[in-house]
Amino acid sequence: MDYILRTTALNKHYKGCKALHGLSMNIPKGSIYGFIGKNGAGKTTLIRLICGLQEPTSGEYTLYGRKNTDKEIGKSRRRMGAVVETPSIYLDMTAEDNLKQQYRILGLPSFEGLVDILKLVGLEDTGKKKAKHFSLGMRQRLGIGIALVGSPDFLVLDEPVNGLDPQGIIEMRELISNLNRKQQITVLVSSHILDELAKFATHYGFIDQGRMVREMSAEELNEACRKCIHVEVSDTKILAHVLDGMELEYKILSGRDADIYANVNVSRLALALAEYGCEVFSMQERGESLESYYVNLIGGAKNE
Amino acid sequence: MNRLLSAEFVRLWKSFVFRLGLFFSAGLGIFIIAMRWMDVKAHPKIYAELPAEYTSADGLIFIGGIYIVFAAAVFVGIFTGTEYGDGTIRNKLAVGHSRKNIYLSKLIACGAACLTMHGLYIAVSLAAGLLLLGSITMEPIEILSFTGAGMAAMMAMTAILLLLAMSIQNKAAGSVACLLLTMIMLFASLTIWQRLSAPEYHDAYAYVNENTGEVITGEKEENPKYLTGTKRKVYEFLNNFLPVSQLYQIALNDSQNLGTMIMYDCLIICLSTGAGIVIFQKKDLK
Repeated sequence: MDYILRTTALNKHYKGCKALHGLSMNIPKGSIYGFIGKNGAGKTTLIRLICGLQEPTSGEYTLYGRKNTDKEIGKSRRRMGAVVETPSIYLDMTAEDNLKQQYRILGLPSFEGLVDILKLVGLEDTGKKKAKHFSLGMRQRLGIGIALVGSPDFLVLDEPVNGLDPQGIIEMRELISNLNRKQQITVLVSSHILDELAKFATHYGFIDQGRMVREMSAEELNEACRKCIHVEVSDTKILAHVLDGMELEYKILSGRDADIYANVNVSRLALALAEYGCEVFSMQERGESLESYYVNLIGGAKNE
Repeated sequence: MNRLLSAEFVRLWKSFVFRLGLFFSAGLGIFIIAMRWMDVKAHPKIYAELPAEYTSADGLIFIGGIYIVFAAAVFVGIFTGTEYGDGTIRNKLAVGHSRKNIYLSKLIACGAACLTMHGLYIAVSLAAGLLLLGSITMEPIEILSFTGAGMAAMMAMTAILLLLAMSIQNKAAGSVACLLLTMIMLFASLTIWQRLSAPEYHDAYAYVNENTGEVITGEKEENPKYLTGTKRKVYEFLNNFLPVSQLYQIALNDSQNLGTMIMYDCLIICLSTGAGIVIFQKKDLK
């Protein structure tokens, strides 16, 4: 698998505080990587490091295969766009002028594609309105527009939906999904609004107290959070035989417990089991949301 | 670096504070000349007895430097602080520009802005002076020398202000710090100049006490405030070293140490820029 960003045992210490504690993460090419953690977990610190705003205390990271200590790391950074915390925009300039500034900073020969970016982020009708008069959502979108100048392959978005209204959140989600799908941009998006992330992320990284607790793909997470019917029976061997006959997916957990991953006709199953003399003690629906998975995971990590 | 400079100069051109600075410089140039012109018109007999330089523009075209330096402090504080305040400095770092190049591009842009403000004051006051006061007594080479030294002092001051502004991430705090530093330097410069100008001796005196008719005399005596030895050398060094002191000397048309002052300016620019780059390199940006 190709990785855009890999970090190895990354540490960042501030005075009397360890913001990152041996953090290792891997962002696959083409993914939307949801970076999940509570406030102060170290999400923004990591983003600051990879954007070159700060230097790690120890450890290293590679961006497009170049180590952070490589003098040419700037060339790798030219392929990325970022919005760190608040959108970085000149408040006394219009949306168009802000984008033009970024074109100049990147040394692009013309302003080709500028109108397309404005349309993409929905700011094509702002005219001569200065950014200081924009709403928070418009500023966020302008920040992303600036990050998109130069057609980056890798977009880093730190809490992009913070402070947005429900409509703004939906628009932001669609924008990120479109960028990933249509332009194959890899996106690292940090957030603590988990249900929102769960709608478009393809990979997840769970961070707590500066440590990566777990990295997984959306498929793995779905597997882990999959809804199932948990049954407690007198003999799971008989249960397995009956479920095979019904062609249902299941997982035997013990001699008495099993999970069935399908919609079960409870009466039919109970009758079929009764024919083999197998008793049903209990049956209940189980399943986890990303939120409950996160809570269990972080709680588990703390108790380890 | 060229890309950064291109972006900085476009921003400079659009900057309201810079335009305000230019307006201030031009306005100050006209105001100072106009005040002298009105004074000459109001007191023709007094000015007729004074040397020609008092009724010409050349005594005034370099005074503005000590005012323009305050406009420079406000400009550098706000222009640089905006990058931190709006967070736009991150856009440059995130796309791979080195911190050294970012700092140098700021020095060049701020330097160009401050020199333009200073240059505009000189040009406007010279033009207004020729128009209203008519004559000029300084030789062109003298004007050029003072202008060059003034520009060097302004550039050195810009380098110091930039070092301060780039070290403070808070826009308001950075702007206030720049202004405070300039005020402190002006106060220090005036104190230094005053101490250096103190006479070595108080002259002998004699006067008649009107009540008693007694003639009171005093001998020529040493001035205890007159600086001597190492202390005087330190004061002289500071007078030539500090950019605001240099601007003050230039305002007084004192041409004795122009070469030394320019040399010190080059040293200040190199040292403060070097220190600024080192501090900025190590800075954890938010």
